[in-house]
Amino acid sequence: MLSLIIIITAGLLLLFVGLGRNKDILIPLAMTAILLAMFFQISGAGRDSALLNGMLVFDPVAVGFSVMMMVITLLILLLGVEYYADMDRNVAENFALLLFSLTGAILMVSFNNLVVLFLGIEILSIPLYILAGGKKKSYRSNEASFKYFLLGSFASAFLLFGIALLYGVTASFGLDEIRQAMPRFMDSGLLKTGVLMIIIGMAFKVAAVPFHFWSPDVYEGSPTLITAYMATVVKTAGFAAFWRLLDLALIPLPESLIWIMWILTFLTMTVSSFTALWQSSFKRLLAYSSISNSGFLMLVLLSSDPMSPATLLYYTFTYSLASLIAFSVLFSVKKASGGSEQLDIFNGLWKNNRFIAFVLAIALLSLAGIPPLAGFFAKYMVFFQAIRQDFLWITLIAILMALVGIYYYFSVFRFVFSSKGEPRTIPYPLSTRIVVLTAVLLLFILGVYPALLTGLFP
Amino acid sequence: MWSLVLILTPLLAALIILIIPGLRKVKSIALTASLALLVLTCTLWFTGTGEKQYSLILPWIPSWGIWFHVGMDGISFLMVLLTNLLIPFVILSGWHKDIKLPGVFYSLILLVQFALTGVFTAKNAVLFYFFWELSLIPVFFMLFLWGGERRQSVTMKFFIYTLFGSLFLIAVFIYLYFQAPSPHSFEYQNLLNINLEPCDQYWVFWFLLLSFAIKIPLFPFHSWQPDTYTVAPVEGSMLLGGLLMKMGIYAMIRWMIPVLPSFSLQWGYWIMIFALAGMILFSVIALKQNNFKTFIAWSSLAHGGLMGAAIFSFNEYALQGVLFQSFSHGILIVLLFYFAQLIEERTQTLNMAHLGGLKVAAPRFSALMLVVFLGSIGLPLTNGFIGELLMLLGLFSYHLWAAILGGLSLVLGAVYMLYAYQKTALGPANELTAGFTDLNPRELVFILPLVALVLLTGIYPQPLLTLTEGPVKELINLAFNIH
Repeated sequence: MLSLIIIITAGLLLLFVGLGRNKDILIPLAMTAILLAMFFQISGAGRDSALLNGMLVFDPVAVGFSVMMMVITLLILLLGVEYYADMDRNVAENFALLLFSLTGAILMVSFNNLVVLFLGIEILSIPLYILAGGKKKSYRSNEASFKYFLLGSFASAFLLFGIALLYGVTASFGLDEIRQAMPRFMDSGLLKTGVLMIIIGMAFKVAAVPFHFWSPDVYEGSPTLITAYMATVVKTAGFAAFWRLLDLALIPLPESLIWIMWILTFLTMTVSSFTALWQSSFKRLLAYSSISNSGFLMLVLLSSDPMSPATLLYYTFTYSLASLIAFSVLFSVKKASGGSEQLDIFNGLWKNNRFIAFVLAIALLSLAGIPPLAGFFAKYMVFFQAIRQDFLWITLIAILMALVGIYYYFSVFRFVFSSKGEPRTIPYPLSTRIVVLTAVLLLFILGVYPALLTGLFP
Repeated sequence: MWSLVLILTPLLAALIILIIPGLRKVKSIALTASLALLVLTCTLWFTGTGEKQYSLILPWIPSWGIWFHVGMDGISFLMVLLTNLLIPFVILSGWHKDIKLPGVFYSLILLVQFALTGVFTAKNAVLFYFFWELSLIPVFFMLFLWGGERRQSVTMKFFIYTLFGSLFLIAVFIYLYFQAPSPHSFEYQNLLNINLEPCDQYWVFWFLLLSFAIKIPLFPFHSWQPDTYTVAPVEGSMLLGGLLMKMGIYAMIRWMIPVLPSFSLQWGYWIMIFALAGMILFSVIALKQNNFKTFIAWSSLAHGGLMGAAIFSFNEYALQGVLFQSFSHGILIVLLFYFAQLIEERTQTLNMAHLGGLKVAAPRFSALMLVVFLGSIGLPLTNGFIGELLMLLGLFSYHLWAAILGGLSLVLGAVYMLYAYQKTALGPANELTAGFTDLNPRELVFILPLVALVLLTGIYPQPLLTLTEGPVKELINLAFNIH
C-alpha cells in the first residue's frame, strides 16, 4: 500500500513542480519515487498481505509483477531524458500521467476483487488516453488518442457488464467467493455470458485477435515513448490481471468458454504473425509483433499450469526489455532521418553506428527467441507448460508462428546491414545508452541463467 | 573437465578478438587460439584421456531437469577433433585477404567452434539444443554480411529452412521429457530409457528426422544447400560443408536412433531409399555443374546421401564408416573449397567451362588437386576409400541391393569428379589459365598438411577407427538390447 501512496504522491508532486520552469528535476524525482516504492514493495515494509478487507492482496506473484513493471517504468523514464529533451511545455504532466498509469497497473496485478480490477484498468487507461494524444498538433496522435479512448471505453463497458452478470450469479465481487460459487452455477447461462463478457473485455485490453484492430493504429500514432510503455508495462499488467482473474476465480472454465480461449489464442498467434510479414513501417511491425507475442501469452493462459506465473513474468519481462531497446533505437534513428518510421530508415545503420546496429540486433534476436538471449527460454517455457498440459497441436502451431516471427524480425536485418543508405550521425545520448546496455546485459544474463527470475515463484 | 576447457576457450578467444583492433593482430590471435586448441585436443588424444576426465556436471536449472552436463566418448571426440583440426585452416584460408571488420568475422568463426564443441559434447537435451541453435547465428551473420551476390535472400532461405527443422526439435525434446521415466530430466541417459508406444508417437520420430535431415541435408530437404554453399564466403562454405553438416550426422547417431530405435529400424528402409535415390540424383546434377563451388555443393550432397543411408543400416561397419567418412569428408571439402578460392583469385571466375590446362601452367597445383579429387572419389590409399568401403560393407550386411545402389556412389563419384578435373586441369591452356601462377609457400602451408592427412588416414586409419569402435558397439547394444 505504501508503494502505491508513494507513487501517487510523487505524481501529484510532479504536477506542482511542473508549474515552475525546472524541467531537470522532474525525472530524478519520479525515479526516486519509483525506487522508493520498489524498496518498500520488496522489503515488505508497509506491505500488508491483504488490504481493504482483502480487496488487494500482495502475494509473491503480485509483488513480482509490480516490481518488474516498476523496473521497466524506470528504464522508460530514463529514455524520457532524451525524448523530452527538446520539449518545453507539459513535460511534467507527461511524467505525472505515467506514474498515475503505473498505479493502475499495480492495482491490476494485485487485485482480489473485481471492483479493484475495474478501477485498476481505468486508472491505467485514462492517463494513457491523454498520453496517446501527446503530440497535440499531430493528426495521427489525435486519431490514436481518440481511437484508444473509444475502443478502450467499449472494452471497459463489456468488462463491467460481465462483472455485473457475474455478481448477479455469485452475489459477490470477491475472487474467493466467486471461485467457491462457480461450480454450483456451471450450467447457468447467465454465468457463462458474464464470463464471456469479461473474457472479451480483457481480450480487448490485451489486444487479442479479433479484438486487436485498435492496437496497430494506436501504437503508430502515439508518441514513441508512450508506445514503448504500452507495449511493455500495459501489456504486462493486462496479462497478469487476466491470469489472476482466471487462476484465482474462473478456472476451471466451462467447456464452451475454453473453446473461445482456444480460438482467441489460435487467431492471435496466426493472424498477427502473418500480418506482420507485410509491414513496411517498423513501428507497425513492432505493434504486430506485440500482438503475436500476446498470442504466446494467451497460450500460457490457456494451458493453465503451476508454472504459469513464472512463465508470464519471465516472458513479459524479457519481451519488455527487448521492445524497449527496439523502441529507443527507432526513436533515435527516426529523429536522425526526418521523422519517418519506415523500415528503410535503417538502411546502412550498420555502417553509420555500430553500437545502435548491435543493440538492435540483440533485441531482434531475443524477440525471435534465439539462444543465448532471454527470448529463447521465454518461448521454451511457453512450449514446456503447453506440452505438459497436453496442448500439443496448438504448440506445434505456436512453433510455426515462432518461425514466421523469426522471419520478420530477421528481415529487418536486410535494412540494417544493407550497403545502401547515406552516412549520417545518429545521436545516442548517455541516458539512452545506459538503458539500452542494461537491457542488453539483462537479456544475456537471464538468457543464460533464467532461474534468477523464474526461481522467484517456487 | 577438459570438455569445458575445449568449449570455453573459443568463446574467450572470440570475445578477445572483438575488442582488439587491427587485421593482423586479429588473425594471429584467432590462429594462435585455434592452433592451441588443436594441440590440446591432440595431446588429450595421445595421452589417452578417459571419458571420466572429460565429463562434467554442473547444475544449470535443476528444477527443470536441465543440467550443464558435458562429456565425450570416442564419437564425440572424433567430431571435436575434426572441428578443432579444421578451424585453424578455415582461419588460415583468408590469411592474405583484406576482410572488412576482421574482428567480427573471426570471432564469428570462433563462435561457430564454440557452439559446435558444445553440440558434440552435450549430454543434456536442452543443452544440446541450446548449442544446436546457437551454431546457426554466427553462420547466419557470416553469410549475411560477407557473402557474395544475392547473399541476403539466399541466407534468409538457408536460415529459415534450417530453423524450421530445429524448432520442432525442442518440442520433441519436451515431449520426450514427459515420456521419460520419473524423475523427469533432459539427461541423455534418461531419454534412453523411454519406451514409446510404437503406434501413436510417429510424429516424434518424423520431427527428429526432419530437423536432422535438413541439416545434412538429405533428399528431399536439400534445396537450401547448393545456393548457400555457393554464395557463402569461402570460410563460411568450409564451416558449412566441413562441420555444420556433421552436426546432422552426429545428431542422428547420438540423439535419434538410440532414443527411438524401433522407429528407426521400422522406417530406416524408406529413408535409405530416399537417401540413395537422392545420392544418385545429386551425382547426376553435380555432373552438369559449371560453377566450381556449386559443383562442390552437389558432390557434398551426394556424399551426404550415402552417409545418411549408411546410418540407417545401423550396424557396426556402417556406423564406423559414417563416422570415418565424416572426418575425411570434412578435410576433403575444406581442401576443395580452398582450391575453389585459389582458382577464383587467380582467374576471377569459378566457371569450369572457361578453365582448362591448369596442369601445364601450374603442375603442383594440379597434382595436389588431383589427390583431393581422388580422395573424394574414394580411391584406395586415400581416406575417402576407408569410409566408403566400410559404409558399403555396412549396407551390404543390411541388404544386397542397398550395397549395389550405394556402390553406384563410387562409380558416379568417379564420373563427376574426373569430369570436373578434366574441365579444369586438363586440355590446352587458354588466355585465362595460361598465366596461372603455381602455389606459393603460404598456400602450400595450407594444403600440404591436409593432403598429408588425406593420405595418412587413408593408409593407416586404425587410430581413428579405434577411437569410435567401443562407443559404436555400445550404441548398437543400447539400441538393440534395452528396447
